[in-house]
Amino acid sequence: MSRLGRPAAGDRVEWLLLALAACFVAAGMASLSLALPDRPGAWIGLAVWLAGAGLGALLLRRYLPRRDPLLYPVAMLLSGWGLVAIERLAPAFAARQSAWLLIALAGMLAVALKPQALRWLRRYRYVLLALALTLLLATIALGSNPSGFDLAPRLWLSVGTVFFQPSELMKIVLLAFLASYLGEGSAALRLQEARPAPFLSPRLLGPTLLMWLLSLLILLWQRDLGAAMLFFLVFLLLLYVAYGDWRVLLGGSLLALLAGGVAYAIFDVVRLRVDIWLNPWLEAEGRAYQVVQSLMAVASGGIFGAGPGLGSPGYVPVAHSDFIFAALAEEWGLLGVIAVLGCFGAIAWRGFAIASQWSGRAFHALFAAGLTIMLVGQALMIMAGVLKLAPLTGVTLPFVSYGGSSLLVCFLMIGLLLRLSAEAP
Amino acid sequence: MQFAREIRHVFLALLLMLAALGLSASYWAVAGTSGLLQRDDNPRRIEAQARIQRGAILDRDARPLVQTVAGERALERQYLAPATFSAVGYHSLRYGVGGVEAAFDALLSGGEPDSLAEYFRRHLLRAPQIGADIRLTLDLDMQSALAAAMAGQAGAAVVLDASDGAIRALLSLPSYDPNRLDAEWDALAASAGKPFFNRALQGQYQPGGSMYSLLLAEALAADFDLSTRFMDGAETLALDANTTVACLVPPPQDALTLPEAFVYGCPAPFAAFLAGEYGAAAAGMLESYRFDRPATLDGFPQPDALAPPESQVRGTLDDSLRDALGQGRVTTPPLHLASIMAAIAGDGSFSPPYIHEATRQPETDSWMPAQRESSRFRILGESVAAELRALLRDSWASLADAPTAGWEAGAQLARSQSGEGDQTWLNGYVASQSGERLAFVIVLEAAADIGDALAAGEALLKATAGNASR
Repeated sequence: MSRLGRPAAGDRVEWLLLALAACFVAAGMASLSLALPDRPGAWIGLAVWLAGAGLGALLLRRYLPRRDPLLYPVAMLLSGWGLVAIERLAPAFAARQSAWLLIALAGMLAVALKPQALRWLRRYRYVLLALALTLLLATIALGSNPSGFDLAPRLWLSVGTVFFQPSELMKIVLLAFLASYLGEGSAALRLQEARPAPFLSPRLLGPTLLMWLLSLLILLWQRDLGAAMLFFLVFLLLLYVAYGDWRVLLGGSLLALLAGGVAYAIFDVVRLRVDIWLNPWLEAEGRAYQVVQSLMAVASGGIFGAGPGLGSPGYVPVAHSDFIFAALAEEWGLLGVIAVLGCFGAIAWRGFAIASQWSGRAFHALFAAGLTIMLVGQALMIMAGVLKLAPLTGVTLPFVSYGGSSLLVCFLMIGLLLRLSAEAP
Repeated sequence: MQFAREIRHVFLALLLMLAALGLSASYWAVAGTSGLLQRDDNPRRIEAQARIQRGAILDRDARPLVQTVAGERALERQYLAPATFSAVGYHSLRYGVGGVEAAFDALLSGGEPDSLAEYFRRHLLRAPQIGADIRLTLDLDMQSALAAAMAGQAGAAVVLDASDGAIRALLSLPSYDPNRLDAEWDALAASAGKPFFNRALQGQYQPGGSMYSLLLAEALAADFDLSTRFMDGAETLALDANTTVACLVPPPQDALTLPEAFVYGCPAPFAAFLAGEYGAAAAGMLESYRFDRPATLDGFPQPDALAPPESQVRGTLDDSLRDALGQGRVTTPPLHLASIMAAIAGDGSFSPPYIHEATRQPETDSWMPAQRESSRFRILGESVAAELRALLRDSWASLADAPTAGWEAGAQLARSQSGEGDQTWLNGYVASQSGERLAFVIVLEAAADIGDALAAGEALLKATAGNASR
């Protein structure tokens, strides 16, 4: 895990990868247009993606020469793939997703090219955290759901027809806060390693219980199992990175299991997800319909996939959002699945490489590691749910799924990682 | 280096999880595919079937009976000849396949790819799956004539080419309209007439008087003196407490020879014949004529129950008598009896019946003959068959008008009784001077008037002669 070559060489790698991503996205859109001639929007989406990718690369090359050359092309490839999939699955949402892509790229460039971004996040962490928590609490009172269904979780705040999910923004703020908090404490705590049971230190137990409670709160008030699990998972791994004590993972896992058991007994949404994970076949045409259909989509795709526009991913409800991975598996096959896994593997590789480069600066190292864990962990959670390796959590597949807030925050995280890579010693 | 070890651990853990996802996806996409995709609740399976361009089904003269055409929203299967509906069956995305559609489903739907090139063409290039056309041995004119003559009845008719067992007509009534299957399925399935039950292939009828032909064959084979008269030949026989059998047509006198009893459908002379020294030989005829292994068609529904096993067939004398008179434990599908009649109409050999004549692969013009097992075997002596044909001609001459010039015809009227009512049989043959010979069996359920069966036979003769003059 190290820096990839000199800036000039990095530029060449980035342009080459970006060109390959452009070819892939263009081929996908072209295939889609051939298979489904009634999708003229595919070419608009491609034009937006090409313009955004090109402009972003030019600005990064000019103003951020020492950035990591892999992260941006990989993120663009995934977002372009997502555009193709959304154009195929829900063409009515494709234009909106294209617009969100431009906003997300602007956001990424803003944080990546702003030298003060990291300093502000660290300095104003309490203010930002309070703001994010306020927004989160506001969703309890004012939350809505774009679907309009009464029973759907109300995780969004809306202004007119624009919806935003505060829990998405919370990811970055929380990561900055945790990196700052844990970074300051880790050095002192690591010095105590000779003493018995350092993991029982209040400095460790305090935030652990706090995060546990926060996760429970999100689950309790918002019935957002995905966000709750993701926050706690990221926190635990970050705590482990900060303090190097595997017992925090053990203790945290026990707490998670305890909370899971209680949640299973109390919350219908948790019980439903666990039950259909354990045996979806009993209710294949009822409550487990989505999971069973997603597995059928993966099976139907086989090794090579049906081809863009030639499968039947529409049988998976909400395939353009949480279940977009099943749609990719059906139309791009196992090869496509491996490519997606490879992309997230590449993000993990480069993200942790950036974190490793900041060995002397705890905040920067932990923040880079946290951003990476958040992106890859979220992808793992939803892909595992789709493949019945874990209960469904209802989170989006980063960069690929439909969703403006998700796309914006994912690109903000990439922007921050690019900034961290450029500033790395 | 600060955090390096922990970061490496987390990185490796995430990589392991990604690898686990890859393995899981491989399982579902490769190993677990078959079970998952074959589930009834997989809508893709039905969608894929709907995209298949099934091949056409044609009669022996290449007249279309069934075809697939492009509808407004999807491919449509059209059934064109109502007379053949019961034979060609149905293809429904909801209810599956039946009849010829089921028996040759693999051919008609294109089946699994038989070459690597076809596999890639279909699975990688997503080329449409196109099935082969099949040409049947059925004769649409003959089928239509029989269907028109038997309209409103319940029963079955089978016409076979005596030379090789080719099925020229295969009719089961009541039938259904496969074009309206989805709309009418529930009513059809609940119908007392059981239209989905193919009586010609699956019907287990008591043969009744149809057995008299075979008893005559036994008598001929044993050099029995056919001029021997049996007293009280017109009397009614009580075979058991529930079954009495009598002459089908009242004879002019009481003392009857076996050929006379054959013409009038009288059981008493045959019972007397069996009670004599020839009875023991006749007991083995159920096996000789393979009632324990009735003729079937590959891929079609088989008869629900076969005849009793050998040990039961060789039961008491009373059992054997009842069996030999066609009112015992032996039942037969019309197809099997038609195969026996084909042996009588021909040289005495039994040819397994078949219905598939040729196949035309997609995007080709040439027809390839269908492969079939040629396993003819003799069940009658050639001279015995010839003498039986003469007796059948006499029988027909006493029943109906003479056939068209240049043709000969022979047939026997018979009746059988079952728990569900009486059946009237007309079993016979038609032959042209050029050597073409057809055997036929027509059975009508609950037919009070033997004229109905005769009318069907006459319609068949006209259709046969009409075909020859084309």
